[in-house]
Amino acid sequence: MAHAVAEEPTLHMGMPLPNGKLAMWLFLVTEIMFFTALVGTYLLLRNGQPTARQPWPTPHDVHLAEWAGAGNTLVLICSSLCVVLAHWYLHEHNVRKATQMIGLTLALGCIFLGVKAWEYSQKFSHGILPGRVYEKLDGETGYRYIRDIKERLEHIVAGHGHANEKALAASKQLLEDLPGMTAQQVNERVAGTKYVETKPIDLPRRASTQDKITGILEMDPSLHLPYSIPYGNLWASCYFALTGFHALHVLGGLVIFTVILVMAALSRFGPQHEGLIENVGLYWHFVDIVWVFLFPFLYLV
Amino acid sequence: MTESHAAAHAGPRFKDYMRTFYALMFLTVASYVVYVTMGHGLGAAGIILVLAIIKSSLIITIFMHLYFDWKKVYGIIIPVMILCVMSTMIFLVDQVMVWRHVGDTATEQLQAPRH
Repeated sequence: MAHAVAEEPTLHMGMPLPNGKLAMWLFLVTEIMFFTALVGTYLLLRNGQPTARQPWPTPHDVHLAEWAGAGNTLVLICSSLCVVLAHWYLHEHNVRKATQMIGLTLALGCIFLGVKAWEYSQKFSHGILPGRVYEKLDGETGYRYIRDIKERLEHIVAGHGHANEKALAASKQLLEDLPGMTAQQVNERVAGTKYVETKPIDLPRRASTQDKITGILEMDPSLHLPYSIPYGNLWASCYFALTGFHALHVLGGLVIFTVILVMAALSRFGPQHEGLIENVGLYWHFVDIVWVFLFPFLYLV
Repeated sequence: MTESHAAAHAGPRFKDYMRTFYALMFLTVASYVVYVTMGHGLGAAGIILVLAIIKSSLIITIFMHLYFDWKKVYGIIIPVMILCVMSTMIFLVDQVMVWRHVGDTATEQLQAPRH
């Protein structure tokens, strides 16, 4: 009787894949829903503006470097290849090569986060943060804008801003002219007529001069002078929410890769962990896919 | 473990990974070139999004082995895809409503001289 039972084929409940992989796929589908909601909300906010004629900030307006985003995409793609090769080498029982590939993935992930940190620092230094961007320059906001510009101009004129000669002279002149000027006029002197004319939100009350003014920032774009960016706060909220959550996912992946490297250092990592590497790889590729969409949505389109 | 090995045997070969990698690099550079040459227009946006969809499809099918694992996980993925499409449609409806109700009237209101 016992012999007969032993010969019966073993039946498995559930899907024909390892439990770990099933759990990872279930986790990934929840992540797909999470990022779909985030990206969908971003697209809705971006395209659901009151009018199509009031433009969403361009990458230049918000100091967004497209080349940095493209570079980060290439870095993540390289890291995806490294994970997949780590899985390949582990399958071939080449633990040393697999460990090297995991180390390389960790390094590439760190480069990605480093570039992201640099991009964030650019936003912080230019005051492009949710709730900190000057949009409409009327009332209390206009008063705060003038006060902020005055402090920054004094800083530049004192020689701390490393402004070029032309921008320094324009800054001195603006500081002298500041009393009696409206916030819109100051904004035009800072950003230039060419920029202000692309922002119709300020058209009714911008400086009434017929002359084209070259802005201080056009003379020296490296200076940290704030200017009116319509929808800048909304842009900053979307940018930091999307890239912040993505960066947290990258950080999570890096923690797992570090744990694997520690296991390897303790000689506790081997071909028996092929399933683990495959599952971590699934997670890492998903993080890569999210960035494949975030990059065009935030930087290019 | 045996199951995992069997799945890995049925998976892509080394050169498949490398080809996918080269394709992904090329498509990334291509999307950047499209942006530089065509700018922010609707045509450029369409091309860039199509390239992004191709890139994600390559990662999903080859790097994530979905080409080989599809029969095992389609039960999980298909419902989520349906939900994603539905959410997108809901967002789109909302946008169309915004355009219909606000449209140019708000532009005129905003750009009219204030008294």
